[in-house]
Amino acid sequence: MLSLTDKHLLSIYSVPEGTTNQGRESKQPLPQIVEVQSADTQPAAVGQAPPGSVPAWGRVSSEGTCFLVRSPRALTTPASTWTHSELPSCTSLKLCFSFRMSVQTIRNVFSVETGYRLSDDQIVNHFPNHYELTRKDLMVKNIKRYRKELEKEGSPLAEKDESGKYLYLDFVPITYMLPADYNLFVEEFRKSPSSTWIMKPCGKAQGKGIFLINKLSQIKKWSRDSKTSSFMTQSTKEAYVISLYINNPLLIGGRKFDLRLYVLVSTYRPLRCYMYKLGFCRFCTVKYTPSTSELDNMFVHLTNVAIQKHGEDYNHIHGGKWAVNNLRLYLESTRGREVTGKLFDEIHWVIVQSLKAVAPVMNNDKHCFECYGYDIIIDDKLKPWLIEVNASPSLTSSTANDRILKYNLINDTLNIAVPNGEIPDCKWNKSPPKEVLGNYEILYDEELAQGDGADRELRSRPGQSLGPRGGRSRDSGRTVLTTWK
Amino acid sequence: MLQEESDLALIIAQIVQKLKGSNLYAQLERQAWASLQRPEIKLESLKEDIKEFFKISGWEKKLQNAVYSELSVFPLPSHPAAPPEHLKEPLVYMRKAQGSWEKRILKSLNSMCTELSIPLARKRPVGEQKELLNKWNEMGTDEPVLDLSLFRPVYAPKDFLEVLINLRNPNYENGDSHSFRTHLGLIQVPLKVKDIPELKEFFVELGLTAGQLGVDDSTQVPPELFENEHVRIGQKVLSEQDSAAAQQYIRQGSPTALRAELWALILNISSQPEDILYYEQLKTNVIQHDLLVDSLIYKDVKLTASNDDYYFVFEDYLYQVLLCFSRDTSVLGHFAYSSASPPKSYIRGKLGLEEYAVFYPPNGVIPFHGFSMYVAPLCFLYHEPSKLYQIFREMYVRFFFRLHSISSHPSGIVSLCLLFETLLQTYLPQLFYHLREIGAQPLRISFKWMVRAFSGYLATDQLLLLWDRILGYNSLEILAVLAAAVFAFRAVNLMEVTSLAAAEAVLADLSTLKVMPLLQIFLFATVT
Repeated sequence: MLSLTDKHLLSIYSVPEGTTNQGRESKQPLPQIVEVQSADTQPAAVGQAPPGSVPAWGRVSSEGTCFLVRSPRALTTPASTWTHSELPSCTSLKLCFSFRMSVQTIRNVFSVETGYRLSDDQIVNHFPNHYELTRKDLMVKNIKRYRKELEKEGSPLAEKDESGKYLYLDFVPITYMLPADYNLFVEEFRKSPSSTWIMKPCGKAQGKGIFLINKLSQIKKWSRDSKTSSFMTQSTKEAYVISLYINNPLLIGGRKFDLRLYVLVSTYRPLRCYMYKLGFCRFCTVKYTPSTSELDNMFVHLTNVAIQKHGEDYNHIHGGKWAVNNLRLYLESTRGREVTGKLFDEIHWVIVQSLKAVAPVMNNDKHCFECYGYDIIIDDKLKPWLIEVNASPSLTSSTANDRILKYNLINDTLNIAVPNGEIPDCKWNKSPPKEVLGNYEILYDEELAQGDGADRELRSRPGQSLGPRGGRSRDSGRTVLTTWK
Repeated sequence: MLQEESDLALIIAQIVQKLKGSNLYAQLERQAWASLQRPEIKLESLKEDIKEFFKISGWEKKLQNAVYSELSVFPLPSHPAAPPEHLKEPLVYMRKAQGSWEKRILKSLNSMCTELSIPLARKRPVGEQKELLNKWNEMGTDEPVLDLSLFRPVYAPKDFLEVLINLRNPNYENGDSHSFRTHLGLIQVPLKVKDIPELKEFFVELGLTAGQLGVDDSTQVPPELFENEHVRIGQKVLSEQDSAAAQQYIRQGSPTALRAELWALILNISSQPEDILYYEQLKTNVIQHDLLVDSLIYKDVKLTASNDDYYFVFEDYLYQVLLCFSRDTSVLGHFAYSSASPPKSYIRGKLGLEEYAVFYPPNGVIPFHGFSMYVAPLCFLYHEPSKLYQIFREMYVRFFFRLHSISSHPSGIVSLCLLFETLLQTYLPQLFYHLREIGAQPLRISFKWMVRAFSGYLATDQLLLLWDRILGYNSLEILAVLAAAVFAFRAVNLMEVTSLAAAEAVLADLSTLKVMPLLQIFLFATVT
């Protein structure tokens, strides 16, 4: 093992998920090198990868949170001899999957001052301003803007029902920024005073700082407390969002769950995204109750593994994780094929729309790709709600199956980002052949869709082809993806 | 000819007898009375008119399904002179072996009782009753009153396997036999089992030429070729409400969305209000009385389903169903055709006095390690606890009891073991010999699969496709065929292992297997 200085590598970080680094945030840390394994060192803990899928060049480090990728050629060059000038030729990039640090890192990489220039054979696993999608407040802001724009254009997608709700774009629970939108929130709260709301800090993950409220007085108390508290300043970092709580989630076996789905974006303009087939449901360990007496019990309400694993009923064998194909089997068996197909169609729809909403503002750097962790909650009417998007979904594995899943996820992601394990070239057209997709499926390809859409607009009235309840939902789940291609 | 006719008459008499006590009979009678008000029913042609009315209103179909259900559950009547125990099990040595096995189980249960000084049953104090009622839907979250670590499952499949291995037919001297085959396997009793040509004939619908869900619905095959039409037929079968048709249909696999209804139709479960009431009564019984077996059930669920990637979400359903099952005396009915007999216990101080004997547990079934896995896959199909319960009970009294009782029935576990070993010996002799030589008798690995009907070993979608065929053929023999097919599929790797542990490792994870292609290849594409 050897250490290089910060000049040598670009975005190498290993912060195990869950490490709080509030102190560090203010210090503006420079990119640090964590580790580079020399070619002859056996990488730790690749462990029991599923047979036949061992990538030639992906290596998961012992913490499981970061890894190092080298092209095959790089492997032949002893790492100890690398110099800065050689780096471009033996692309070495470390994918960083920790949320806060990566924001800093990616900013540093693309900032003018640091003087880094990514060369054509270097790629990186974040978009420079991915927070447009992955910060809770900005995502909502972008989606609201996107709806308004569509409405202005008179797009049929922005159609509303008689009560003023969007027919196809109402997929995020009503959300306000606090303290900025306090008055708007109060207005909405008064409309249905018995509802429960959920408060989340904008910049935190893993269920930290989240609480539920059902009285205005609780908000007032919170705002008083945060003002008096000395270290919680009025900075934007401590901004909260408040969202209407989905208090009628679909329950299975009496328990609440959410979906964690992985979506890979290889380019935003044109938008090309992939959906990972092996998502999972994360279950609460405790029975769900909508009763307000349990509002404080986070084991009832939050599905985050980071929270649930501290519950006394947390099971370390399955970790409360249930593969998404189990959900499909269960729903199809108990509710029928049509509604199940529709649900999954709508989930795909929600994801694509959220990406389209941020596509115009995203810095679509050609060196970038990004794998997002989408959190979706399904309500008891089988409507999916987008809760949030994570730029650095946890890649630690809590169970054996989890390990296999995440190993494959990393492998398949890299196969699309860097096809054939060859030295990447950011100028390539980013449309990998079908064979390398692995467990990914093309979710949306704007180029193809536009070619398609143009054809369709000639034939049919606009809008019909794109509405989620249009022709697609009648198809079986299996064919839905092809209709978007 | 005369014999056949009298047999038929006997069967009819039996079924009529059986149905007379049923709910359906009362309903039919009520319907018949009510129909008298109708204008189309004439006094002069009363009988014909009522028959016609039953036909139109669908009651005839219900009666037909009930008769069909009786036919598939009960064995055909034997010679009238045969004693009733022959209905349970015709072979004396099997009956004896089952008897002594039961004694062993009971002894171990009793000794656990005395060791822990816990009564077999007790009435719960009122406070405890209320508490249980409150947490009925989340029994998994709270620890039960008793310390579960004290409890051990009464027996595990491998204990049962030892019993089967030691099973001998006293009329059949192994020592003198020169048949090579009998010495190679673990099961040493001579029973008639099917060979591949017979299996091919029996499972003809699984052939390569027939469309098959689990094969022909894969993403590469366009649904127009088979799937769409199959689903359409399935819907038609359901609308006809005909059990026999459903059973034939399901041999080619059930579409996921229709499975719950198709299985209910085949098992003749209709979920009437009185069935729900019955379930509620069982629930009340659970709340009022605490049984020792409850702790065994808790323990079993905790050890198996709670840790299972597929089934953990249904933990609470499993408690509900299994606790109610243990109180259900209607389960006792299956002992008429099962080689097993319900264990008896006596009221304190009245030991041995028949008039004070009660069956214990009330349903007569002592759960063993892995028992809850019979229920777990059904949770994917039925979210209504009372319906789930009825389906499970029917599955148990039709099929699952055979997997843990000693009998000579073709679906009984002894026959399945023998079928498995024979198939392997005959069609993969090298593999069989190799494994035997390294001390890894194949049955030692496959036994647990068969005892649990593969539940907990296969991915759920595959397991349901397998159970489709169990229902479709009204037989468990498919389990032995699949077990052999799994060995065939991994034969190359198995030939390389040199120990039992290594062989077990090769076969440790079956969750990636696709059941139907394996079965088809083994049965129909292997040169025999």
